[in-house]
Amino acid sequence: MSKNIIVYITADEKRVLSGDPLTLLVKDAEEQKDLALELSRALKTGTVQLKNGDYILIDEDG
Amino acid sequence: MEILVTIKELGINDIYAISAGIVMGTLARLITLKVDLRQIPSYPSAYFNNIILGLIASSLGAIAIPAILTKDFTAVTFLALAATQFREVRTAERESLEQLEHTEFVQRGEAYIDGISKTFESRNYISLVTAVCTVLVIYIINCPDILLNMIFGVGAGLLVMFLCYRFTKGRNIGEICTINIGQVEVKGSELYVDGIFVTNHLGTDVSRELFTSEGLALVLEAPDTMSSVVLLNSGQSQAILFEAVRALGVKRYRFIERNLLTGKVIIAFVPIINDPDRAVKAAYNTPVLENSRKIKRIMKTSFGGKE
Repeated sequence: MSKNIIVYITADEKRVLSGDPLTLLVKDAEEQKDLALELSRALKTGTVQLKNGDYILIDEDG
Repeated sequence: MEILVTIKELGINDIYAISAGIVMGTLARLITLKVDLRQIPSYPSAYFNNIILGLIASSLGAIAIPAILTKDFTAVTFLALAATQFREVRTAERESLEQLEHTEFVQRGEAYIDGISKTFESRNYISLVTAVCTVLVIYIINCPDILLNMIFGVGAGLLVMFLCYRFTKGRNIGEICTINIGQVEVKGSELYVDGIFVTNHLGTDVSRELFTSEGLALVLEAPDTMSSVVLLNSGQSQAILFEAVRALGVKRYRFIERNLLTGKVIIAFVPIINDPDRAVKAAYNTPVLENSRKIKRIMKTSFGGKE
């Protein structure tokens, strides 16, 4: 029952760190929202919006 | 030809006894082979396979007693063969269900699969034991009136069938807890049911709208701590989710929340068929899994260990 973070989507460049998971830097909140929706549909993942506004896509099969 | 010679050597009483044993054993399998909304075994092929397996099991049981009476003690090996065959039935059922896991809306889970395959195995034993007891009683009575022998044999078979069924029959989830429809509420990316946090996986607007308009949640609550232990078992709650989702289908999103503070289990999903009553019925009829089942009497026993 493990869960994996597939993608981290942020608009704040200070939160972009190298390594796993894939972190995507976007321009603004609107693009962030659209990207989260498109990627969650494509990857069939769960989407969590954090209180700081960032999104994480989580593998639902866990 | 050898078979015909063997049949000729049998007395009329032997033929009646063996036939009665086979019929009663097969009947035992037919009675325990229910087609309900769970649809296990699948209909018609697996259903037919199980009837034939029941026939084979009862045949093995029915010939054991006459064989022993003719001092053919190697016939006992038939029973060992039967046990091996029934274990194969369990293994085959488990493998089949495991292979189908990824084709279902939601996984059954290993605990549920284990329970189903054990049930399949035990029901073949019911067939065998029923056949053995039917034939045994016919031989014990051994009255000149064949009809009287048959009546006692069939009576004994029915009694054994009933006792075995009672002993192996499990309970349903609905018998150990209350099941209600929960109030779904979406706050940001968080999903709450009856005010209890379930998940924060609703990060997109689409998922929030979908859950708000079409989401369905079941709230299961056990009346006592012993039932809570069963309900909060992870394999058990997965089985409830599976049954609810299989009854209604799922568009997307399905969540289980086991709230350890309140002892409630929440099943939430977006169904294809929006029929809350059917969801409640499916959850109600989910069997209490043997792995999660706790029996008070046994829980209280120390078995010689220190309390």
